[in-house]
Amino acid sequence: MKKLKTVPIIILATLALSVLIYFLPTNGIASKIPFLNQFYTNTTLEVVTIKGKARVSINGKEYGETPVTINELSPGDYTVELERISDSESFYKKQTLNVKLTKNTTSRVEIEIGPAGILHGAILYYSPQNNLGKNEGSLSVLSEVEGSKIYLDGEYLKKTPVISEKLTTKEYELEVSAEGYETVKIPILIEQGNLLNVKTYLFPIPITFETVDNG
Amino acid sequence: MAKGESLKIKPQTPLSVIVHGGDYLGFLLAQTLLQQGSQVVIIDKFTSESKKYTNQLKKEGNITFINFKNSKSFLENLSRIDYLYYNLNHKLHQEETLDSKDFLSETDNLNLSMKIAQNSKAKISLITSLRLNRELANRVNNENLAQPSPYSNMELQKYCENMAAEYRDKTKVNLRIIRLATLLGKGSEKITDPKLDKLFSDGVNKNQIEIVGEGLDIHNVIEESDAVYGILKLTFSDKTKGEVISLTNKNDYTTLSIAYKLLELNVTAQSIKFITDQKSKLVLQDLYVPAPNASKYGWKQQISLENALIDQIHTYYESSNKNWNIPENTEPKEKISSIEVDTKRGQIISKIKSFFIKKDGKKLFTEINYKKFGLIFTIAIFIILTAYYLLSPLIGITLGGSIIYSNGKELRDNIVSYNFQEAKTNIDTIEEHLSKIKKNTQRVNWAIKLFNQEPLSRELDKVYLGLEYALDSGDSLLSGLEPLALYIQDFEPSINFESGTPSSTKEYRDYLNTIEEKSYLTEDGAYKLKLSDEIISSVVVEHFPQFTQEYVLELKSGVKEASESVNSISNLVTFLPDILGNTERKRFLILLQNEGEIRSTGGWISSYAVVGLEGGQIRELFVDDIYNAEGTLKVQNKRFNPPNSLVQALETTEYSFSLINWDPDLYNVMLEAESFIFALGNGDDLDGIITIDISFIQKLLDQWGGLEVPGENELVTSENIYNKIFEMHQEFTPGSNRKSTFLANLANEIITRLLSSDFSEYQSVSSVFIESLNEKHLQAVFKNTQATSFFDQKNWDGQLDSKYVSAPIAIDWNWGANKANLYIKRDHNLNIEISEENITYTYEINVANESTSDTYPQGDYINYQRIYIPPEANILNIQGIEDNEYRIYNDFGFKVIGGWFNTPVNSNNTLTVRYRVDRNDLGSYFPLTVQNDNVFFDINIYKQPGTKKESYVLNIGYPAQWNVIESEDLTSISNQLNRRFDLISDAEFEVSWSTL
Repeated sequence: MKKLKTVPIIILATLALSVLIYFLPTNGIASKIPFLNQFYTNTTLEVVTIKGKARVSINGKEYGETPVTINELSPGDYTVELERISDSESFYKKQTLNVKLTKNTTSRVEIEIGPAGILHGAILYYSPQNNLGKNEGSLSVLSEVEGSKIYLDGEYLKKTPVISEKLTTKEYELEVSAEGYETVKIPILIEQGNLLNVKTYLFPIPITFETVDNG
Repeated sequence: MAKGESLKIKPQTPLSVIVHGGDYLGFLLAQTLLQQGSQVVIIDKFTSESKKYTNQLKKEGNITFINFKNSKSFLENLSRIDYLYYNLNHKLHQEETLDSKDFLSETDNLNLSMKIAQNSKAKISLITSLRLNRELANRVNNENLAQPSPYSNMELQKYCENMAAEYRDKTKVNLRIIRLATLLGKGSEKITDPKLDKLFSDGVNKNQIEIVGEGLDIHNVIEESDAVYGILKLTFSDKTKGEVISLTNKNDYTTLSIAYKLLELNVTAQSIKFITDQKSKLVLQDLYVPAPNASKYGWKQQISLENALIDQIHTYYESSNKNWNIPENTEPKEKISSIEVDTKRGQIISKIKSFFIKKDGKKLFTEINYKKFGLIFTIAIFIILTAYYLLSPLIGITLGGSIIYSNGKELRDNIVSYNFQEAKTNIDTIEEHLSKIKKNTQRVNWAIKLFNQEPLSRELDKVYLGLEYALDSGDSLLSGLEPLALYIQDFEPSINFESGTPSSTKEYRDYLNTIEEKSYLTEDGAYKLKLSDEIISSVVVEHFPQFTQEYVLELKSGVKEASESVNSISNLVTFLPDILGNTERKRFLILLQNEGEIRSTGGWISSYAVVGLEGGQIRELFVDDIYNAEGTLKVQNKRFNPPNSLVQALETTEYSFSLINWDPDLYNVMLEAESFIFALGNGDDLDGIITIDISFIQKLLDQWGGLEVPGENELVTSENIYNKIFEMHQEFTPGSNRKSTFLANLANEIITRLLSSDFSEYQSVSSVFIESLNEKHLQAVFKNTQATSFFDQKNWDGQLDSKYVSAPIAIDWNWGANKANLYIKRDHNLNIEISEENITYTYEINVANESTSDTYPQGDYINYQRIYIPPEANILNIQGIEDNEYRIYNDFGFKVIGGWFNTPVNSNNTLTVRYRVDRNDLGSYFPLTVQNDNVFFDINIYKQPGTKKESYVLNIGYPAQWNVIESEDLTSISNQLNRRFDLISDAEFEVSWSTL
């Protein structure tokens, strides 16, 4: 009789525990526990401007001028605002970029801010991915210019968007090019079990007018 | 206490009543209860033997003794009882037989005691004899033994137990029956079990212990303090409610084993003598199964049998005034210092502790039952792991999935009802649960691998990634498109096509400014949604379990639908504020072209309208028939210079408004139109030009099932609109405004219908717009560079730009003053031979005129044909031009081959053009690009606006050593790529080869 009572109690307790686990913000809790929290705030965000300097603010908080490296932010989505420092600041628009931070990884913003809001460079961040084999990571590349061509170590891969392309874990040189635009060339590191997300921005190549001397 | 005298009971003091408590057990019980702060009442027929106990208890205070005779009146007057100990065991051992009066008195007393106790919700323990119960059972089970006599103590016990059990069943009173074993200890001067009593007497007083029979009959014994501790523990525990419990040492003992034990303890007797007695009752087999032992409820034996026997031997020796040579190695008896009674919380802790403690353990670490601990630990770990790695993920995925599903529906409803704040909350909720579901899926990865379901896992990953993009996009889109949605919701035109008089001064600049500020969000969102669509579209539904496939399909179509809807409007917002006159008034020319009589940009210009927008509001509006405009200009004697190519081709110097679309480039048409519009007094410049044709209006009418147009006595539908316009055209006389009024009214109704559409209806309407733009039944080009760039990317701007140099462009111009194009069937063949340095094109157009007569609108197809090819192209061959009289000239970045290519009624005709382009001649415009051993060829085939479905065959030959990397939908045979398709919009093919 007692056993008969115990069995449904154990089943109910297990179900209750299962539901609790689902709703429990485990990461949120763990990130607040001393010692454990270091595993949840082990993030790095690098913000670099290719030419010139820019004021950096992240989620509204000022972080000085580029280059900036910020450690130990909690994983999540961040809004990075870049304001190019220039004598003619009105020439450059304030740029708002969205970056994701994943624990135990480094996210990087490497951007040149051009006039009239145009950008050149890339935003890189990792996110964990299932179903990757040993020594395997993956790569996603998006480009502001539709149909940009992607090369890895000089070999043509495909046109953007590249979504979750499985690759061997190592360092590559990523090249994103599109007709009429300057090429972006950056080193990337494919990490075991992670998807590297790369979003690229390409400067349009300025049009040069040839003058014909009729005289 | 006298009859009727009431007992003074302090409210906080528990009252314990011990019926038949005048024996040593009652004494011990009372003593313990008093020590624990209870008030005690003992009811009994007190004897001289009882006095030694009562006298001692009186010294302890707070105790009352009631004679059994007065118990009824006492109990009836008692205000409450907390604990009732009915020590029937004492009564049972006083007399073996009872008279009927005594029997009834006892049972009545028990009945009354239980009632009184039940009224006070007291805990009741009926203490009976385990020995008598055993004997009774053995009698029942053994036919050699008779039933007990009616008034034997055994019968009384049986009756009282039954009565108590029935009473408990009826009233649910807190009652338990405790069958007490034979007491051993120093307080028991005479053991109640006669056989044991004889053993001890013989052991103390004789040289031999006499055992009648084989000495195999069984005895249950318990030490006195263990008994007291057990009675209290069992009474206090709620778990014993309604139970029958045996309070005894766990082991049973035979007469012989106890006798041997006595000999071991060096009593006077030194041997055992077995006596055969034929009269003794023969016990064939002891089938007695005792009630569950008290140890089940947390009681445990504290005093070993040996210690109990030592105490008992001492007592027997004292009674016999003899000395006992106690063996030196016997251990002193352990005293029970106190009775542990748990509170409710303590019971929980005890229960938890009891899981891990051995029943017979004594010391801290030896107390732990490692086996049980291990078992419970294993079960706990198993439960946690099962919950974490199986149940929680399964429940979570189901629960989260349903939350996402319902929030998705709410999101849609909220967007449709312009409730953007709620929609954002929906997105946040979906995001949160998607993240949880993703984590839960990771937890069941082991199962996925175990059941070899990697494909499912891969597809799930795609779904998650796609949804993440979709949600990211949702955030951006909601913020970006909110002002546009509010603008559409609030917009009310101040004037309409019919009246042209402003009825409102309301403007929408704030909305337009916000749209502009947030356009980057919309663009970002649309792009992410497109990516999401691409990812989710690639999901293979078959890998999902059957019952989920429907939902996956629903998701795929939902995301696709959303992406298409959003994509169609998102790019507009980057330039929409400017087009809507955010900074200054913008003026646009709208041309209605009749594709039945094809012209360069789509058809013969039938009517036109000029619309002026400012601050998001319509500020001027003018619509008229083309003939009226031409008449006005003629009356005013306004003359315009025709393009040279027109003069050469059509051999006319008269340049009328209806000929402004001679140039196939719509931007040039806009520039040409400006001087006409200025001359007509409708503004000095234009900011854009929009062309529509009858097919576009037909598509809209199809979408809505027709429209009611003022002045028309029937519903205007896609079927009858052509006839109506044709009829008005036939009946046109200069100054007539019937057609323009009809078109103005129709335009009003279309705009009214568009503005009154709800959000979901915009999806279907926008698909009509997209389809018409793709098929060039609707075109637009603007002076705003962003707008033009956007329309150009989509091939919606009607401009002939350099991207079309990769294939020849055919432009027809019907100069037959009929609508022969309604009867024309055309197909195209294009062969392209590629080498790295040059490309050779062979282009063939076959025309069939299915007109059956020369009567309007049918007739000969008098067509001035122009073929646009790259300016540096080398023409190799031209065949099919009338009289082989063709002109070749350069125009706006192209080389043009022009000539008459006519097809009479009911006949066919073919035109062939062959030309070659060289890399050296074209430079950066050469269609082949080479990069890192790869060759790329993007072919853009231009579809002339106004043409309908035409068959097109494309063949591409390339060097045999090249390997195709990408060929889109082209079929590859040997070193040939080919495709047959319908040219209903511009066609684009991207091919790449590896030259390695």
